[in-house]
Order: sequence, then structure tokens, then C-alpha cells
Amino acid sequence: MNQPHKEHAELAEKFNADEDRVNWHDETLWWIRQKRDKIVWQLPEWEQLRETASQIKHNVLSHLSEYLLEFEANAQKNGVTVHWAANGEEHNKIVYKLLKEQGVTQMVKSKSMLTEECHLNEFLEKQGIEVVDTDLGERIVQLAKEPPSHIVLPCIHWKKEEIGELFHKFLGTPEGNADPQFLTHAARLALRQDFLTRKVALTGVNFAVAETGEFVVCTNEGNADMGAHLSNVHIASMGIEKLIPKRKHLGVFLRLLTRSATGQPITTYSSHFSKPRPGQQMHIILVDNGRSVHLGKEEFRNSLKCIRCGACMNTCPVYRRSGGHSYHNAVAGPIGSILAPNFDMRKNADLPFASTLCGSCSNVCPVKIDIHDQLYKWRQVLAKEGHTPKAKTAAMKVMAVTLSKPGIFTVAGKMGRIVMRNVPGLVNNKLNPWFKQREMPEAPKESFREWYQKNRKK
Amino acid sequence: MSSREDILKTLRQNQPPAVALPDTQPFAGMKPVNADQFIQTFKTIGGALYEARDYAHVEEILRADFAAFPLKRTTLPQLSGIADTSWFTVDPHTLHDTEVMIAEALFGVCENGAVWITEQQMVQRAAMFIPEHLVMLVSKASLVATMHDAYVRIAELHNGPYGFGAFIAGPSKTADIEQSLVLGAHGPRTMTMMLLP
Repeated sequence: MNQPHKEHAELAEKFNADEDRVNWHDETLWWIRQKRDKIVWQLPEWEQLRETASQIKHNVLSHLSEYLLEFEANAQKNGVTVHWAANGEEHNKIVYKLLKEQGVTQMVKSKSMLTEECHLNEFLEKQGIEVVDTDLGERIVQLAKEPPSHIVLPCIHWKKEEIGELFHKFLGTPEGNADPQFLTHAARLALRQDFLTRKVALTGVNFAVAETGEFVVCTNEGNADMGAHLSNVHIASMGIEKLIPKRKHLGVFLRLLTRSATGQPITTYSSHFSKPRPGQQMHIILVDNGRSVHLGKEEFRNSLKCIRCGACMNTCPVYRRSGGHSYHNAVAGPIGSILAPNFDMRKNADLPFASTLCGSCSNVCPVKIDIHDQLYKWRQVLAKEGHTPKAKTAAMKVMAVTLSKPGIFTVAGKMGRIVMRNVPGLVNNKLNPWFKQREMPEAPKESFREWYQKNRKK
Repeated sequence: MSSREDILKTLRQNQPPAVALPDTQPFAGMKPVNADQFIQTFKTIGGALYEARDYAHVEEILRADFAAFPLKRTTLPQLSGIADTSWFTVDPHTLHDTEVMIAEALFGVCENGAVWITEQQMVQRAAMFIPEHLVMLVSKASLVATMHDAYVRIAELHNGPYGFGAFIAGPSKTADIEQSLVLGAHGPRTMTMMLLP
């Protein structure tokens, strides 16, 4: 976790080695973006909905401590135990304690990006606990010992033939069978045994309602429900920013979430958990892990409005062509790139640069986070704090001098043109990052300035 | 200091100035109820739908279309002639052999084909998720247009907390393998709606 990692550009280059795969990845995510557009355009009030959701989230951020207390009191009234965790480590210890109390060494888990952020699986494995991820995509990457590469589509970087091979190895499916229907059914049969035998189930939380103390979990597969309703103990882990004030606000967010995420009108299941079923224990862990500090950063607090739909990833030209793993963070893509530096600025200094600043992410965001503005602002902060690569800093300084001195600019331009026209090998080589995967343009004979001076006289 | 106090203290220091809640009232009642939209949307999300006259008609359809699945269970005493009703208090794990579960939802939502049902109508929470096939009855007269209207209806229907409630919209599904849609992930493989008057 804390080992040094490669930077985004280097990891993206690795992903780009397989051109067919990159093209498939790119087109598939763009297809999901198009599905999103199609369903969004059916609602004339879409922009009004986004604006309302954004305002609700602003209200939440400005009253977060009050809403947390209201939620805690109401959840307790409903018979739910509420825990508070300052960081990932404390969260993981609470989960482990609950498992130990039950005397079990196994647990089923449905999709939760928060537990990825806290590295829960690794922690529990070290304590001898076997965690089974039950979302199909998450199960696939778990068997392959990889993190998810997308928050909604965890194994979008995998081809069905590879999944067939993986299932042949782990689930004993026939070699060479890569039929999605068949493989899904094999996973269903295997995971059903896990659902029927595990005593503890952990789920994530999509929304928690301060007014009622209930929380909502959205899935298409039904895995959160299968786990929770067959368990003796249900643990729900949530980041503190997942709160909304009133139940009626779910009407706004449930309309936005799945339309933005996958282009569906709603997920198959939107489950509202309010009380444990008779004889069951229900626990909620409220996790901070840097969020309360993040809230104090005026320019960056907007990213706490995120509802984790993944629309910004599906639309991002950089994400689509570099893959989720190149972001080396639980949440990838544009939103991950503005969340990650809050946790660790040095480790994630490369991420705000993994963008063209085209603004498409901000345009599709259902809660109107100014994602591309924040990417730009992070760059300013990172440069000021000295987190930019030395070569880039030096090059920028040279550039600043050249651009501020007309004399140097004219000479440098002339030299550049002469070099490019006469010794193109000097620029068209591997040392020039601009030459990578593109041809350098043909240099003009003269600059505009030279042309103007010549022609003005006429 | 406990983590709880720590977190609250930091939040209070860092919270931005109060921002008022927007009015969500205009969204409710914005659109008319459209039963055809409900029917079409439910079919689009992978469901099958029958318009049934009454419980007797539902039973008739079940006898014809679900004859291949003898292990039927229902939450509805009116259908005890065709499905088992002796499972209400059993260990939910034992419900895993259920082939068809038949229940009745409180209302449906036209814009997304979902129906709302709470623990009271489910009898057991797991019962809606564990069967191979789910058959849901819902009355046409109960339909609401959008999710905003749905939460207005929920507020009217439930005085206090409901324990557990869910919007269910079609069979369980996944597209995690190369974005190929597969019906039948972990929950029911099919969902059939019986739309009563």
C-alpha cells in the first residue's frame, strides 16, 4: 500500500501496449456514456434535477456535523449500532472486532469503494479472515488478485476469454468456455453457497437519511440483499459524506444515480434498511478518513458531493484510453484524481495532470462538481508545493523566460524552424515527448512576424 | 478524545457557512401517471407482464405459465390454493429451494418500472431475493409517475420506520462480463408483473 508506485503516464503506457484492448475499452465506455445521454435526454427537467442535487449536497456539507448526529440518534432508535472511525485502520479494526465477537473467520461483502479505500480485504486476510466479494465484477478481480479498475464496472478491463480461464481455474468451468451467460451462472451457483453459509455480511451505503436513520443500498445483482438478509450480523460501512437530509431527497438522487452510471432508469434493487430483522444485529460504521479535513479546503470541498456514479470516468478521454489501474487509487478517473491528493498529496501528485481539462466530466456530473476546475487548481497547488517533476519545472522556467523576452523569442523561433527543417532528427527522436505517437508538424519557412514585416510595406 | 468527538470537532471547524435546502416540491406531481409507460418500461428492463383481472385470474396464469415449477411459495393467503403459505416463520436459509415466490407490492413507478414493497408484505426479507422466479402483483390504480411522487406516497403509507423496504425493478442482472447483459445474477432470474386493475 505504501510502497512507491509508478506514475499515471508510465502505467498508462503499459495499458496502451495492447492497442486492441485499449480500443475496446475506449469504445465500451463511450457506449455507456451514450446510453447515459439517451436516457438523460428523456427528462426535460434533467438540469433542474442536477442543480437541486447539487444544492442539497451543499446544504449537507454545511451542516454535516448536525446531520451526522441526527442520523446517529435515529439509527439508534431503530435498533442499529453506530460506530465512528477516524480512519481506515480504525474502520478495519471495528469490522474485525465484530467478526471475532461472532467467532467467525468468513464474511461476504457487496460492493463498497470505501472498503477498497480502507484496504479492508488485505487487513482481514492478515488476521486469517476470508472475505468473499459477491459483486460479479469484484469477484472476478478478487480471484485475479487485482483491485477494481472502475467504481461501477470493476472488471471493465477484462476480456471474457480471460474470465473464462480464471473461472476454469477457480470454479472448475470447462476450459475454453467464455460465454457471459454461462460464466455468470457458474458464479451464481458458487456464490449462493457463500450467501447461505456466511454469518456476517458487509455492504456499502449509497445514501443515508438523517431524518429517518435509514440507509439505501443500490445493486443490480441483488448481492447486497442476499448477503444482508441471510446474515446474523449486517455491517454497513459508509463515508460520512453519504448523508442526505430527508427521505424525499432520495427521489432526486435515485433518479440521477443510475441514469448517470449505466443509462438505466433505476437499479434493479434500491434497498432501504431501517431496522435489523428480528434476531439480527445491524451495525453502521461512519468513516471519516480525511473527509473532515478535506471539508476545510474551500476550493476542493465540492468533490465531497460525489455520489460515485462513474459518469466522469466513462466520458473521460484519458480514463478511457489509460484504464483504471493507471490511477493507482481506489477511485480512478477524473473524480479520483481530485479526491486522491487530499489523502496524500505527494503520492498522488501525478493524477491531476492525467487530464486534458476538456471539461466533459463536469458536464456529465449529476451533482455538478466542478471537476476540471479542481484538476486545474490542484495543479497550481502541486506546483507551488514543489510536487511537479524537476524536468517539467525547469522546462517551464525556460519557457517563461522565452515568452517574456521578445528578442529571445524571435531568435529561439528562428533556431527552432532551422533545426526542424534541416536536421529533423534532432527533434524527431525518443527524447522528445511530443514526438511520441505523433509526427512533428512541418516547420514553416518564416514566422508570422517575418511575413508581416515583409508584407506591411506593400 | 473519542473518534466521534474528534470527527465532529473537525467538521464543525471546517463546515462552510450554512446553505439553505432547495425546494423539491415542484418535482412532485410534475408528470401524469401513465400506465402504458409503466408496462413498456418494465418490459424494457427485462420483466414479463400480464394484465390480470383478479386473484383468480392470477392463479389461472400461474397454473398455465409456471406449471414447470412445483415449488411455489406466496405471501398471499388468497393464492394458497396454488402456492405454499407455511413458510412465514421458517429460517430464511431454508427458502433457497423456492422456485417461484408470489407477493404483492404497494405501488409501482411509471418512469422506471419499479415497485415498492416493505417487510410487512415480504413476510421475510430474503423471500424477495432468494427464489429463482419472482411474481409480483400490483394494482394499476396504485401507480405513481416519478420517484418524487413515490416518496410522497411512501410518506402517506408509512407512519414510522418500515424496518426494510425496497424498490424492485425487474429480474436481478449483471453486465460485468464484457458489458453483455445477463439476467439472473444473485437474485431472481425472472420477474413477472401481474398488473391488477
